[in-house]
Amino acid sequence: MTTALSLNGVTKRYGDFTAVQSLSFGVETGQICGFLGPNGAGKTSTIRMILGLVEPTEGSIEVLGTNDARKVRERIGFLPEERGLYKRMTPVDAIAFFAGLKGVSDREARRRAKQLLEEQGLGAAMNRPIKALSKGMSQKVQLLSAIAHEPDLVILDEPFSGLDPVNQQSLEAIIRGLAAKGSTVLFSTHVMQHAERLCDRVVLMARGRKMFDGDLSDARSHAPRLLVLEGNISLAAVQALPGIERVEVAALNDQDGTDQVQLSATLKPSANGQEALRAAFTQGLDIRRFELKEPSLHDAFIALTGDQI
Amino acid sequence: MRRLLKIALREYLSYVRTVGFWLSIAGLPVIMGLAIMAPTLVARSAPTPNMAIIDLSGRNLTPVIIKEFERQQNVRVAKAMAAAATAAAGPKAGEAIMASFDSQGLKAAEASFTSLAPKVAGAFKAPSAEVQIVPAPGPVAAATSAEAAGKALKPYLADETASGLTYGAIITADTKALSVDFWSRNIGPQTLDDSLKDILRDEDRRMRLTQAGVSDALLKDIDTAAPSVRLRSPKSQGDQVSLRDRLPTVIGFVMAMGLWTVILSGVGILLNSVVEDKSSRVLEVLLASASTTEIMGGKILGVAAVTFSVLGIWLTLGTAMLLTSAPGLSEDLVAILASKGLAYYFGFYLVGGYLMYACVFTAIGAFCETTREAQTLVGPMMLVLSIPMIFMSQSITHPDMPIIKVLCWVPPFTPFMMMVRAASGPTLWELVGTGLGMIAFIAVTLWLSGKAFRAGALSTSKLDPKALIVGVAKGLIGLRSKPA
Repeated sequence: MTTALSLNGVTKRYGDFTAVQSLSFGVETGQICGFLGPNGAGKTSTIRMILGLVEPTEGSIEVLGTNDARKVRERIGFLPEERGLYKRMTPVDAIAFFAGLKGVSDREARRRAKQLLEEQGLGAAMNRPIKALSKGMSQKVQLLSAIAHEPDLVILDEPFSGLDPVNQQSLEAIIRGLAAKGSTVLFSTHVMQHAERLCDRVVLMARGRKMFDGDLSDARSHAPRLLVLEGNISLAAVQALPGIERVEVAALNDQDGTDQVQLSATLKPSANGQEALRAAFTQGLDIRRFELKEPSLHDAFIALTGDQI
Repeated sequence: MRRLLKIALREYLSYVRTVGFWLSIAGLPVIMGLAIMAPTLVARSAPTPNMAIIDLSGRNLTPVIIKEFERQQNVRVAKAMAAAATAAAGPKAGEAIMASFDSQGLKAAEASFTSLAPKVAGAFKAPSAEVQIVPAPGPVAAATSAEAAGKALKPYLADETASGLTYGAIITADTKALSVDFWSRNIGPQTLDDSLKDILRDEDRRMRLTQAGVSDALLKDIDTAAPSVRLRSPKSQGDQVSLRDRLPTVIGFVMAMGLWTVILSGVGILLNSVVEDKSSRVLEVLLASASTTEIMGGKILGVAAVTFSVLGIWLTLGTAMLLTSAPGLSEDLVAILASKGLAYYFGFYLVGGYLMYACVFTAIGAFCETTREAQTLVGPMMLVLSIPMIFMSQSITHPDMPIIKVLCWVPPFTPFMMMVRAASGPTLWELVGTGLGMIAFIAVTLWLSGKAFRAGALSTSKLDPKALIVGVAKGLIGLRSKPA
């Protein structure tokens, strides 16, 4: 596999403020990489550096085999965080215009624009001014404008922001389609669920620094697994089960006149949750409900950064 | 280059496809036409005002006044014929008609008009008289004092009767001087009272000199032998300075005014366009698709095409109107534009001036999210731009005044000041020097604006004039300003 994008020790400072600190990561060709972090984590600054819109203070960036993305503009598709379209243009004109800027001939650009709009269910709106479209529709048009020239590298800055669940699903399908055709996709988001569904790998950012870089299972492994038990049980009994690191009271219930408690037991990294559960039943603990919870990317992020997102 | 042209084409089409564009094209000629025609239309629609003279001076002044107003009317008719002949057959025809009038009177002028511009003479309609002297109504004529005459006149001027009287002049005399109570239907400023004052002053002088023993023949001789003043200049083509000699300066001034208006309109459109792209976040998308130079260049070129299209259409319409209504002048105009090179200067200063201001306004627009923000920065720019306007009119009469010469060397003013001076024949070194200065200034402006535009396009914070200056300064030393 070849590397489509590579950042080495990239730092960006604005006066005394460091937006990005010593950032290094790479994305292989055809991968979908989630670039995750809360607002202010340095995602947009990094994307602008990758695109060559701003220069890094330190470090180097290689994009599609060159150290200056501006030389390969026509092979890159970009969807900015804040959407920008000519409001009086029609979708077909807008998509064809941006594809034309990326080197696609006028006729071919219009053909692709129409095809993409039809595929996305926007055929009926293709000749209406963009200002007359709904937000979801115009965001789709913006995305199509970014990919109509069939780029090798697609960079999407918060592509899901402002979209309803139906359009989010549709956008996920487009992103998967791009990767299936061989494009490399880097997308930033602060909504972990999208990354979990889409990404081959993730780069987690916080306060300008990279906190994690790897695949999803690696990321999740940094967060503890939990065994949630509910019933008439004591904290000490659960703490004594094999593989349990610590136990916390999650909730107290008083049902049917009996004291019910919900305990959240954190498993040791090497522990087997099934074993602990089996031991609980063997010991005859009064358990009414149990759940073995695998960590989410969100949990992993909190574990890795100590931040909420 | 391909991307630059694509951006320019989009910019151009986005304006040309709007209704406002075509309204603006039609609007100016209509307004200008109205402004030109309005005085004539008003004059034609209004009847000639009537004036009653109540002469209580005992000097029988009414015939003198009537005769002088007739003479003034003849002058107006002659001038109108000269203007019509100038438009149809050129300035020489107009000058010949006035010469005939001055030497032989209105009949000779009419004959000259008919022979020099027969077509126009056939359709010529003389301007109506400034005033018509009518007999005073009975009760007014019967009054024996100014007070009584005034009292009797009032109802006629206050629309209480259907007299149709507009003015009344009650003339009285004491031992020293004549005096006039000039009554008018309207309070607004009048010109007739001044005319009346001049007529009566001349008549009074004539009478006193006659009483002092000066003969009528001598008085006539003195009037005819009034010193003639001939205006001569080494820059005139003939013996004396003629309208033909003055035309280039007037045309230069008109072209400079046109230049100022066109450049200002163009950069105004450009500013709005950039602000709109910035506020709708299109600029950032464009920056990922094209270089700063391509985006700036495309926008500047696209709006230039819009501006020049409007200018081209207006010029075509103007030329068509000129050829139709004043074919005599068109030949001279073309000759002046070619001989003095005014058309070339206009082209050069239009391109230079537009580029200079377009760069600055584009950079300003890149820092602004709203037109209100843009106005805070454009305000001082407009003050600067008004400076040449103040001095341009002075350049017509005093093209070589030191201050005007100095202003020509200030690059932001060069296009306008040099355009207005071009007709008066500035020296070669002034032309070349100011031109080179302007080109150098444009190069620096382009470079700085490019840096500022890039910094502004990526910034998302509220406009801070300091940020603009810092953006430019950082651009100068190779840094980039902070995006949000």
